[in-house]
Amino acid sequence: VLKLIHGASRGQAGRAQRAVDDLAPLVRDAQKGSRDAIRQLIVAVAPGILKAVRRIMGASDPDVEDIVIEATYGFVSALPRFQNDCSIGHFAARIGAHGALKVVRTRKARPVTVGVDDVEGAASASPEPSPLEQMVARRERLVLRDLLGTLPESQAEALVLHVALGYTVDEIAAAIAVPVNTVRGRLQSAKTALRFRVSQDGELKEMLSEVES
Amino acid sequence: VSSSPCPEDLIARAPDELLGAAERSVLDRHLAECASCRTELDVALALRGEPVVLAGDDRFVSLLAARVSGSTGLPPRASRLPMGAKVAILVAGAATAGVVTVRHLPASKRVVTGPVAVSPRPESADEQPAILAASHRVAEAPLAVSSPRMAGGARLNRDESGAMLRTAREARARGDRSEALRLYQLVRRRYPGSPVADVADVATGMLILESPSARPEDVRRALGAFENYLSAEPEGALEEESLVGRARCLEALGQSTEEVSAWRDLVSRFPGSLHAKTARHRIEAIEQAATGSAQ
Repeated sequence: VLKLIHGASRGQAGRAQRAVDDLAPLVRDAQKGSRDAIRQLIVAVAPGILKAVRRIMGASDPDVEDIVIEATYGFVSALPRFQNDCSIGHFAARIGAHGALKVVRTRKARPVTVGVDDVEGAASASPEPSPLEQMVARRERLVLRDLLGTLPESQAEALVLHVALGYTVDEIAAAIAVPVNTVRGRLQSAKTALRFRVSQDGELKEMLSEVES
Repeated sequence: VSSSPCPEDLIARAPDELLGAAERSVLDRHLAECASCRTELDVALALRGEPVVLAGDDRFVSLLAARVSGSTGLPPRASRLPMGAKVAILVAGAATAGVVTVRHLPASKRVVTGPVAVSPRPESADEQPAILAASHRVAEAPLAVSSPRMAGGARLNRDESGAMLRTAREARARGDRSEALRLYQLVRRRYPGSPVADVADVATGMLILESPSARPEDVRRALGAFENYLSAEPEGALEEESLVGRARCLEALGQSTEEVSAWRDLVSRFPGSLHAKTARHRIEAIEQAATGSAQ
């Protein structure tokens, strides 16, 4: 299954994190109301907001940009409350993730259909996975995104930050200001609930076992 | 559930394919007996399987930063707009900032009976007639900005209106301005006097400004739409775009005194606007021209 992944390397993520941490002086100026600092800060953190929203909504979802705009306004409004408990990048991405989850929760579950065109389109983008693997991957994404919307808000948030954005448990605890064990509990509950719901999707389960076999 | 502690670090690094052979072996053994970690890895793999950085992101981020830092927080009406509307605003702003440049002609040389050239961007031969026809149809239709709020008892369907605005935005993004105009008109007709009709009116005005062969009467109608919006919603979400649109219209119509006033209005209300630099240049150019002609 790992061959389906095309993510950034840990090294890249680390460099990005250090770059974001270097923004502390800019954060201070922005908190004092400097419009130029706010603009520079948005340029630095908005890619992270985009990434978080796309991971949750899907890259092609038509509401991605709207959510990012809302989240960016929310980020600026919340800046005075930022107290360096976590990196400013995590702070911004969390606002983006929160906005995306809010939209996911208000949507009705979509009918999960994957057509031949979807598979052929995906096949041209990456020749490695088989059409069946691509179809399963796409279906998994659709199902999981809908299921995220059915989880309690706190669990969905912890799960998204951890598995979709790669935050450690400690980083999540810092970002949302709760004890580490609370984060662990939320993650565990979220995973249990998802496992149960995926198991109820007979077709998906069948497709997964076909790929695994 | 596994009896051994879950190797969180290995699971966190696995989706990025950063595990050595020994680590993979440890993780595989753990996954064989821990359903919770299997679920976690499945979710991570599924959600990370799509690209999250796309072409055009830099431009979007740059516009977003300029737009948000130029305001003092969430526009008061923004929360009333359906999904799609705010992106329409941002994209419209991008178009007026990055693509549309009104041709600067001395007032004495302005064409007042023929088309007003408002865009230097070359259009394809196929595109022009369709855009012009649609633009003229828009110009002939009465604008509904002064109608009573939600006239005729129409109820705002946020999903539908948001989808229509989104589709219009997509049409505009792919260069199909006639389709975008048609959809904006449809929104106006279906939801007269509503916030989404305001968005459609202002977006229509901007499309007219973008048209390479808009007639003076088209531009005057666009000007009317911007002014009506500013009058009806002085602190609305489209305030900045309407101020820019008003100034552009006055520029195209050769009304220099009013144009200077419009640009000053923009700069005083939105000093951090993406258009502030253009505004200052235009004010300076017009004032220099006026000084030169006086001497």
